[in-house]
Amino acid sequence: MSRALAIALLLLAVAACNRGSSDRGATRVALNWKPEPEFGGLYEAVHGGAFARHGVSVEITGGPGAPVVQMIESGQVEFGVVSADEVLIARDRGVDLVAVFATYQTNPQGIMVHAQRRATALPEVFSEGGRLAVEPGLAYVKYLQQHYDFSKLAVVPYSYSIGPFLTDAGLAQQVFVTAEPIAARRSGADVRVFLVADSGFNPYAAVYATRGSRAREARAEVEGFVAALREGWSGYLRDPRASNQAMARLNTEMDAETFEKAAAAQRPLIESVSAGGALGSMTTERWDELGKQLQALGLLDHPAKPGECWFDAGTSGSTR
Amino acid sequence: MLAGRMQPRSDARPQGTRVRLSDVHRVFHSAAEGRIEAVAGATLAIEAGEFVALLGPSGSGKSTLLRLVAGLDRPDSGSVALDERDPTDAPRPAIGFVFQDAHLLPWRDVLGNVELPLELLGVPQEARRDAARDAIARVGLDDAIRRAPSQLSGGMRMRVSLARALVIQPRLLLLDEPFAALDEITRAQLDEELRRLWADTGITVLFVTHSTVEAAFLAERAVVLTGRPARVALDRRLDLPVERASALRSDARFAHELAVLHDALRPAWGAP
Amino acid sequence: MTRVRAEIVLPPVIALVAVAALAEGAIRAFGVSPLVLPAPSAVASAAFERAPILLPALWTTARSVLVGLALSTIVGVGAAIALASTRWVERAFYPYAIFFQTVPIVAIAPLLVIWFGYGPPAVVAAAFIVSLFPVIANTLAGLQSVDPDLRDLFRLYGASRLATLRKLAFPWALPNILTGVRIAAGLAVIGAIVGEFVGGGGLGLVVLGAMREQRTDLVFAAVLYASALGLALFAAVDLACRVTLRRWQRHDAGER
Repeated sequence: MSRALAIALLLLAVAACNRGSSDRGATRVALNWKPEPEFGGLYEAVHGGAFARHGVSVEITGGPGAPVVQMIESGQVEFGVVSADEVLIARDRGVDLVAVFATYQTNPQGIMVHAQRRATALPEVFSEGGRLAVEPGLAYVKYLQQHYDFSKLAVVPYSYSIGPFLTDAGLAQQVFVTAEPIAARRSGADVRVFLVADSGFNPYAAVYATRGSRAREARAEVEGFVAALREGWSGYLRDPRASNQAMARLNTEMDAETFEKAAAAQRPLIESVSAGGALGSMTTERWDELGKQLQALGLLDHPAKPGECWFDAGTSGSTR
Repeated sequence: MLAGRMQPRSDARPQGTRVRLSDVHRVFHSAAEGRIEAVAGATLAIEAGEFVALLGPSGSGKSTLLRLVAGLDRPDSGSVALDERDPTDAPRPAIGFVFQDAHLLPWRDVLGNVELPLELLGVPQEARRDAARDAIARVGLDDAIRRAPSQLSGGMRMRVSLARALVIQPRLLLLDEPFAALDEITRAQLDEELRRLWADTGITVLFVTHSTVEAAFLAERAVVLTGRPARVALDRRLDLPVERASALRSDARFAHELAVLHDALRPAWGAP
Repeated sequence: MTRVRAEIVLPPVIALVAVAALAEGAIRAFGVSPLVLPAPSAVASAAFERAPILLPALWTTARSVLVGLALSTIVGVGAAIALASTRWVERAFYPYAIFFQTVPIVAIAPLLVIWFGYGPPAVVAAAFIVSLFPVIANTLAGLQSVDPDLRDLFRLYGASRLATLRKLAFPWALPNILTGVRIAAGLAVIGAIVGEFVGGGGLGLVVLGAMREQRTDLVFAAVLYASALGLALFAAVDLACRVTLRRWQRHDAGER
């Protein structure tokens, strides 16, 4: 009886400490969406050899709906792609996550409306009324709700399909500027997109994060990963075609032309770095600003410590 | 046909139906056993007011015969006539049927169960309530009139079933091994009560059983059926007094009749 | 009376407290992250502190569930009566009833929103679709299990089909209908919440938002409220069972 209990407790302990290691030390990276230009630099680093040159063997996993924060925290993956607000929120809940690379210096989230609407700026979109399809609980949604008049607006869930948008002239929806607007235009809709960043909420996006303990104990490995990733992005920005092809093989729902257009659309958002800054680099000031905004929104229970939430992995690997 | 003709108990003699079966055949087809000949060429003539026991082993088609008489089933060939009419023709003749299981509706009380046939026939509430109360009194269940079936013993449930069969003042009463599931004492009691009811009303009774003792005790005439398919092996007027007291069971004449019936049944018991 | 109530209520309560305490201890001892599995104490405090959000959400979901369940009961019993009428009808249409059992509600929820619009209409539709089949299946089984001798009895006295349905088949099948509704109730809650994931409103929306905000304790608290709803429905159906079948102790073979 006591032996059975001991075994049961042992299994529980093993399950709780699911720090499974990959076979022969491969570095696993979890994406939070399908292979698309937002991960172009990652795939370029794999196929272009940057990771190999830095001695890193990368396995890419995850996908839409993957619980990336939990995957990083439980050790299922070494790195994962999240948004900056997710990092701060996770830290607030007691999870030691640190950001190491920020793909988008300008947040690519926006609100898309049909072009024939009168609104010329985001506040008007909301005050005009109609419906807004967004993922409930998103930080920027709360930000917009706090700053603008939502009283005439009906907020409905967004199910990652532009179907309802195409058939409903009064519907506005959340978008990733590199994705849905392109798809909507290809379906024949005339659309206008407003960047959320223009309203003053601009968290880093497509942020690669890892466990804080890993960043401290395996510093060199993390720096190597980041350097290779930076090289990959550099290469992808120069010429995205090879990686686009590689990703298209994995993501058959998107055609070559959309890959091309999306890659082009996202350039300014990735490259908008103040002079001298490297691709993917971050500053404590921006983390501080984000922390204060999230706390004002009630998403953080405790004040953020901006210096601790990101890890400076150096600037090696091409700068731009 | 029935409304307004509720007669007081003392002179209730609705008279009996005449039953004629002529060369009746009934075949069933089942997936498991193929072609089953339940009844093969049964011919029987029952006069008004007779108490006839249909005796035979299990599976000998007795129940099928009973259902044919009731008009619940049609013969494949041959004819069934109740007072020269087909039992399936409208208006339906007044028939009471008692099954082996009391088959009471559990969501109705005793009164509700007994009045059911009249309700289905469209008799207005007050008239049918009165008739039901009469029938319940006749089987001696006045005290239980408001009880639910789950609160009754097996014997009481069977009495309710009997009352239900009698409530329409039928001229033909069909019973299919009604007391077989009851204990011996209750069975003997009900046998006596049934015999008395018959004597009071003079209706025709067709009683299916596989108990020779019960057949001999109850009936004036016993029809013994062979095994499947059912054919008449013996049709005998029992040489027993009209008054059937329980003491009869130890009478020598009783034993003699039992022996005759047994003999008629024996070959049937050997057959499948 | 109070002793009986204690015997029924105490064991599950004690079990709950024991399991919760064990879970709380294990989670703290092994340092399980609150984002993976929140401790019972965290869930309880979220359930209490967030009641101002959860209670209105519960009410919204409950309304949709009740309407959906009422619809599936009415339509289900009606469909079963139609299916029980003749073998031909049953053979022709029963396979389509099974469709309601097997259709993955998660997949068609977006379609429901397109057809019925955001909010309660789509949610009610989801609850209805998911809870319909148990009512049909159980009611049909009940209607088809009517004792053939009783049917004969009704035929003997010239009862019409309607009279047989009203006075025999329907009361006979009532226990089966209630069983079907009891199963349907739990499913209707699930259907409604899935519908709310796509159509918005109620506890489903709270769960979506809470997951997004990494508030796992709130997710579990919302789940707790949903379970409470399911339990309340179960209890209501149970009560209906006991009231209608009070004097009716059904034996399955022989005596009734």
